[in-house]
Amino acid sequence: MAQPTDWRILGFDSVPIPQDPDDLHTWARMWHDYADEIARAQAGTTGLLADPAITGWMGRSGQAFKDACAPFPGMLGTAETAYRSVGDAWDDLSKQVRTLQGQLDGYWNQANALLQKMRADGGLSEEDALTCATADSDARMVELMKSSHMETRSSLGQDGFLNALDALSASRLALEPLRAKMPNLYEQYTGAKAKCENTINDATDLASRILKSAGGTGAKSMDFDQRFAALGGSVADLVLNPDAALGLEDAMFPGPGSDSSEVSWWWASLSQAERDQLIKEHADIVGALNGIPCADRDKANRSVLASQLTSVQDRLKVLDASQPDKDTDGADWDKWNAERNALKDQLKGLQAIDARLHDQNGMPPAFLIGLDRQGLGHAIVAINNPDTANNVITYVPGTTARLGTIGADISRSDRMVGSANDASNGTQVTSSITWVGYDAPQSIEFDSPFADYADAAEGKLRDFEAAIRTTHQGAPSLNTIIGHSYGTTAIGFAMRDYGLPVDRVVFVGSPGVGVDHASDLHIDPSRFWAGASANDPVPQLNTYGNAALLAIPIAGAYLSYLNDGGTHGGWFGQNPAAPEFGGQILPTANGKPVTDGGSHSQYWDPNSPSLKAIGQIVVGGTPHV
Amino acid sequence: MSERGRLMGRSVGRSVGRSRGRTASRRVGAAAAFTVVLLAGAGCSSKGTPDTPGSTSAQTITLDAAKQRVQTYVDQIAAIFPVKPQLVPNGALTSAECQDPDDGGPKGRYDASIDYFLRGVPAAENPAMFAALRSYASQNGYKSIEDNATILTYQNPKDGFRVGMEQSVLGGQGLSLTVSAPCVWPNGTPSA
Repeated sequence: MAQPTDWRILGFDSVPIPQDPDDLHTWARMWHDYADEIARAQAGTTGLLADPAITGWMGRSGQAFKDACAPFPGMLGTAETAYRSVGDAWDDLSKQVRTLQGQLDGYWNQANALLQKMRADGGLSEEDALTCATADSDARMVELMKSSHMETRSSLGQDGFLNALDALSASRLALEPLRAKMPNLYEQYTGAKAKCENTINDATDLASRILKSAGGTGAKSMDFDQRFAALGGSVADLVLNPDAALGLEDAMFPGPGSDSSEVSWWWASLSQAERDQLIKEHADIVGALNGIPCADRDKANRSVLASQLTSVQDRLKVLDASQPDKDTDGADWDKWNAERNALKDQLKGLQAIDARLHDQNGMPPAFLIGLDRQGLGHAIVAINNPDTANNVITYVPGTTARLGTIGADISRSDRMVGSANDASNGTQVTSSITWVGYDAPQSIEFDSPFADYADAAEGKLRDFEAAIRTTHQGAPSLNTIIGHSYGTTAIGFAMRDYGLPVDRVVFVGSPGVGVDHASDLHIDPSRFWAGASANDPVPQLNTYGNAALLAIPIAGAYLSYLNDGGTHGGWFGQNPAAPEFGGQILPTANGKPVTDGGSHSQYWDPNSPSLKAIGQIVVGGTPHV
Repeated sequence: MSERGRLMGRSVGRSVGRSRGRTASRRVGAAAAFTVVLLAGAGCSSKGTPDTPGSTSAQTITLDAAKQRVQTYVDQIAAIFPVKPQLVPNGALTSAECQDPDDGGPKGRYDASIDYFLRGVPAAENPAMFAALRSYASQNGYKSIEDNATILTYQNPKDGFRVGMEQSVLGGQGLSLTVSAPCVWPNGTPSA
């Protein structure tokens, strides 16, 4: 039932208690829910502080952190109590309002009945009856009647009106005790309201102080830092990124040197909204961070790809419009030409990636899990999602590998996935990652004979392989690392010096891998395969004293010189495809003759023995030789 | 890093277990051989068999024609089997630039290949399926590329196309058929 709107009969200018008790109850429920959430947070915090990741944080800062965090559960408990008291206050007010409104409505009904009686007794309008009813005495009532010539407006006529004076006086008198109750009732209401407001103020002040001291208000977090420092901790240990001062979001990223499991844990701790925001606002960082799931890195890197495509194309337009004169500005022209060629090379790679990502045409989906244009540019592209695949290949190409040439290497990954599908009869999902995450040598003559490219690749390869293991979902995948040419050297160095978390290894066209025997790669030789086409000069660089190459006078002379006594050598160590290396032999075709340039890049030819063997190996099989 | 892999400055390879004491200059000389070996062949890349689609600088069929012929082969081969398989695509028809063209010809040409699962063939029929392909290859003068317990691959010497059948090592010994084209010029003629 709706509340009366005109309360003048009881002495109020407006509705005395306008609140809806149902609304107040809703407020109460909201605050109680909030308190429940804090209670859950308290339980979570208690659990977190007991987590081995925290309890195992050793050293002075670790202890200081634990000490500084120790009050958190208590703080949250107090906050819960505070917020619950606010809910209780709203609930109390709701109940009191409901009670008082019930009483007021009752009195109003009684008063209104008397008013209507006065209207009838005196033949008066609503307003004239109200004037009589609210007079504080009979004398005052008569005075108001006379001054307003009320008798002239009475429907009873002057005599009839005068005969009704006694009845009007009786009703007015009956109204007085009703009005007398109003101050007390209203005081009860204002008292309840004040109590609720005070409770809210006290609780929110308390909660604010708690949050502030807990470091939960961003810029005002020094209380925690100070407490942490006072307990012996180094505040620097709390900063996850040296660039934290640049912004809150930056500070959220794990710092350099964090391993993939730390990154994975951090990423999982974020809400989906937070992850989406970081992908949107820091795509380059998210896309490059080992330990973030491949699907999320893909989202970020697709954004990076789009911006890089635009950037390169825009710069090329500028260059094309500002070509220096080659004859008069030779140095400028050389510089212009070098930049233009470099950009066109990178554009070729960016476009190849873009095409594979977007134009699947019946092929498996592709994921971009790394992209940058530093130096000649790097990219990591997976066919199928490595995190959910049964089998995962990491393919490391060799000399001339760079962003600009990645298109051909992605095609090789596509073929390896197809071959693996054949080998598993389509019952397993195989992902093949083309990993151009290192600076590969570009010149066979001036770069490839040197070890420093492989030295520099070791750590990157180790971290990436660890990340692929970390982010994989479900049962562990069967991981195979496959190298070609100098890529085998990079892999071999990493395996020799760190070991890699892979199940199987395949090398083709290798110039040597930094060790002389498979057992030195920290993997059982039974899980190692190497293949060398009979006409691939690279693996035999140190052994070719045979007639075929001697037919090339200069090369033959050099190779004779390099020959180390016919021991199946290799430039960076024993040729891994030789029996002396101790691994399994990957079947290969002879390929085109050495006199026609040799066969260094035919291992992925469709219907080739090597491609089919690779497919069988990566799904767990053993190829027939 | 192990002692073996630790090199002095930017030294070349051959750091593994060898102690022949080469000088840096000799090593660079050896490095040059790397180039000689690979580039010497590149200069001799005009050889080949001119009447095959994959031949060198001569005209070839176009890439589109090669793709069509790949599918024609699939249809022909699928018809020779004692158990008619259901062809289920494994990926799509793909094409990639030939890096070291098998026929000794120049780069700039593209291969093409397509792969199908052969469904509806009981594993017990696999030997008969392999035998049918062997017989067909023999009758048509195909050259054997690979022949073992799980893989059978032939090449038609007349046009360079290859046909490969494989029995899976997982998933119930299922069969698949791959047909591939040799390297051809996209438009049938050497690119400028």
